[in-house]
Amino acid sequence: MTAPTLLEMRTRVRDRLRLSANDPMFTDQVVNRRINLAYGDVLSAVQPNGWWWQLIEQTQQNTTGADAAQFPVVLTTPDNTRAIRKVGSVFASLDGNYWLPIEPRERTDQVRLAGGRRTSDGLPLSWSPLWSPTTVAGVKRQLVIVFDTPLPATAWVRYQAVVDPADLTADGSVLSALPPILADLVVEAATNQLIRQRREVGVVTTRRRYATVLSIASRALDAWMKAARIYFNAPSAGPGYGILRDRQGP
Amino acid sequence: MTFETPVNLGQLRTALRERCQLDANDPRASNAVLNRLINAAMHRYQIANANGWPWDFQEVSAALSANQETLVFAVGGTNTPTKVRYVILQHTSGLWEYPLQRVSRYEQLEAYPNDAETGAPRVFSLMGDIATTGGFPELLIRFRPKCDIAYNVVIGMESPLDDLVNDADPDPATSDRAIDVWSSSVLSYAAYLVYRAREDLAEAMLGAVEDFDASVLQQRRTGRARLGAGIPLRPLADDRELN
Repeated sequence: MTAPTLLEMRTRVRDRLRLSANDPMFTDQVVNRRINLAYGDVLSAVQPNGWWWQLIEQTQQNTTGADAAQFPVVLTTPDNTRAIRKVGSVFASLDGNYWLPIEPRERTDQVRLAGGRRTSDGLPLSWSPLWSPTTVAGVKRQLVIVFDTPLPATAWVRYQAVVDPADLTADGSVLSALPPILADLVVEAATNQLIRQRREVGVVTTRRRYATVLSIASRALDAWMKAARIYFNAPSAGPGYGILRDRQGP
Repeated sequence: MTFETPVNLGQLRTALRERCQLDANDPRASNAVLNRLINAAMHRYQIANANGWPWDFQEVSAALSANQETLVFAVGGTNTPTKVRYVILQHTSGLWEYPLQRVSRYEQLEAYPNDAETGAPRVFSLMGDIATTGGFPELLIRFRPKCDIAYNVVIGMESPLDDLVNDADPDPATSDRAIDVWSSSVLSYAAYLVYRAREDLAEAMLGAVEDFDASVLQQRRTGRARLGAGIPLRPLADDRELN
């Protein structure tokens, strides 16, 4: 199996709808947009907790030179165009070698747990996720881990995160955020939206028949999405969040 | 001339043309177009059984060197896993072997918190990894403790059938995949995709979807009982797993 490019995905979508590449209602841009929307849907809306291959682990050091109450969660280049949507299973280490789990707490409980202390004192007692608007220019919102007490300077953090895909921007962009076996699910999701945009001229049909076609198609798509979710999500069937259900990741 | 169950891409395409009454010269139903639809239907079929179809189960061996902690598989390409069922650790000379326990990464770090600790691996965890740019997503197996010496591992994985590219795919001489078992299901779903493109046969379209659903259910039942290899002892409560 090869990982399809945006160009190949567009060809597949046009196959499914019997669209001409010269159709002014369905230009490359129109079809691309639908593919990107469907791509995002399959990777986020269909599986809100993230598919297992979106679940990654990062180990980062606090290199700010100071204690960090808020630790930004980012990917390094060239993947920094991808957003991190969720974090979980946070560990901290003073030497980058020996890891201790830090427990998540609701924000105000964090403050109570730390007894109001605002300076770092060894490893943090708890963490919580927060979206911070005040980050690097051009980044509107960024996920940060709030530590209480703050993470000491030069200490290390290890966490699991769910990463979202980067947009497909060029014909050669590869769908690298999901296994190729699911690429056709994206095609199908895009197709199901484009069917609704289509207006046939000179085709004899009825409103009932049109509605029937749409409902069968969306039913088939729902079944496909559900099957994919079950196939890739069942904890006993492969990579997932591990054995203990109460210790699920982000 | 025989009229057997279609067992390869070329035969599936012929059967699809028959079923949907397509003209071989129809430019909108060219070989390339139908091949893509058949492959899409095949992907749909592959994930229709959460337990994996029995013929998707494989074992591959890998060598671990001293201090090695991770194994990475690209999820895509040829013979690559969509799932890992089990990992068996082996002595390099085949003196012994034992299965590793799968735990979550959280548990793994709790039990073995020291990155520097070495020994015979006891547990493994599975996660994704940032794919190489433009490549496939990756499956990452982490071992703890990390290897003190060299070992072998046997990885029990599920690996879906590769895309059918040539008319003779899958070649029965090189593939052990039981395509004739599922060709009817694949054909039904491909027919649905063809009918939907034509939008003129709502009833046939619905029928094809129903055919597919029924055949998958049937095969999931019979497949489990008859072909036990790799099927978990405790069957999944498929739909309930979601909630």
